[in-house]
Amino acid sequence: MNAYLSRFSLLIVFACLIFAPSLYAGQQSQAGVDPRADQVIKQMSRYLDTLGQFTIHLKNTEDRLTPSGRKVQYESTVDVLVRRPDRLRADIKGDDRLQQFFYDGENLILFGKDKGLYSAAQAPDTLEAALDMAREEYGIVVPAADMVANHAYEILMENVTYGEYLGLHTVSGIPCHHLLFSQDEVDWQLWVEDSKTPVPRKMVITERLVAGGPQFTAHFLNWNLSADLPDEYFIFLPPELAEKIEFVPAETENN
Amino acid sequence: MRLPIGRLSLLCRCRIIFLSLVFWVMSWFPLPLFFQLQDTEAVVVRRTPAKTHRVVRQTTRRTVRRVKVGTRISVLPRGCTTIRKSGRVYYLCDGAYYLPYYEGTTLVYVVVDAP
Repeated sequence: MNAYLSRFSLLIVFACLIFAPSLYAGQQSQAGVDPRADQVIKQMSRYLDTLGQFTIHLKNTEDRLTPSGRKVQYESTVDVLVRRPDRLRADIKGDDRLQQFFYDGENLILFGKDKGLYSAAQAPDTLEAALDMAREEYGIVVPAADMVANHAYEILMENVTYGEYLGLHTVSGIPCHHLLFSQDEVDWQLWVEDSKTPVPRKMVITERLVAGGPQFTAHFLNWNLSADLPDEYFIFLPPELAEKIEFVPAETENN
Repeated sequence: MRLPIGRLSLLCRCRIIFLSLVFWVMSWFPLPLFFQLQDTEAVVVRRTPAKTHRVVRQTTRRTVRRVKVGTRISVLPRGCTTIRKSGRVYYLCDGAYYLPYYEGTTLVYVVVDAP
């Protein structure tokens, strides 16, 4: 369970941060990182900063190891709705979960639809601060939605020690800049659309140090770059039979 | 570890034989997570023609079904009933009370004292 969480979280943090408005300028290229790769990430971050309301449909596959050490794969889809500066919703459908995550400017809510259980916590009034809190206090990393950090580029590249520009490759027929980065435990690849709208199209995270090199792949489909998202989309109304439970504070988790 | 069976009472002997049979059968299946016992474990390595099994035999005088408070699982056993008390929901399974929590985005159930 913990391996799953950390891999999933890492990918998701990554996916989320991509979309953060990056007001951070003047970032030096990291040593060991191809300047072309660095530049593509910067361009992507800057572009995503300009989006006010948008939605994405993510289709993910994730490798996990069975107790006997065999690698198996699971699928999930995530629909993310973002309205800056203070609204977010993510609908997650996986082989082992059906969940919704809401941020309505005041509260964070995680609802397990398949279990009829939800948990809520008071949150700060900006998306960036709320998602920081979710991650630090509850260990929640919201799929493709942690996108308000002002230092998105810096956070993405913070632990990167190596970066390579692999070429102009296609994802479902869309020409993309194919990038490779390495850090302590993982390698990650990103495909950024080569167009006036340089959005990510695919991401693959490889756990380099684990036997079998398990991977997490996210396909970014159906970008809607100027969605119209009214308030109702971000309000959680507990169904009649749903029960409220608590979050475990992150520091008391056993790893 | 050989028990001096002859010196024990009939009830004790029956319990020991019964438990030994249970554990022998259980050794063929993965030990369910919620059958965690507090008492000492003896690890027995037993050779079979094909491979070596590792059999964990737990010596205990209590019943098999007692679950330690604080045990965490991610999937409830079958046949649980839902209990609501003091505005919280619990699940009662095989005599143990489970309280659901979100740990990150993962649901876990923790064994607690009876509410």
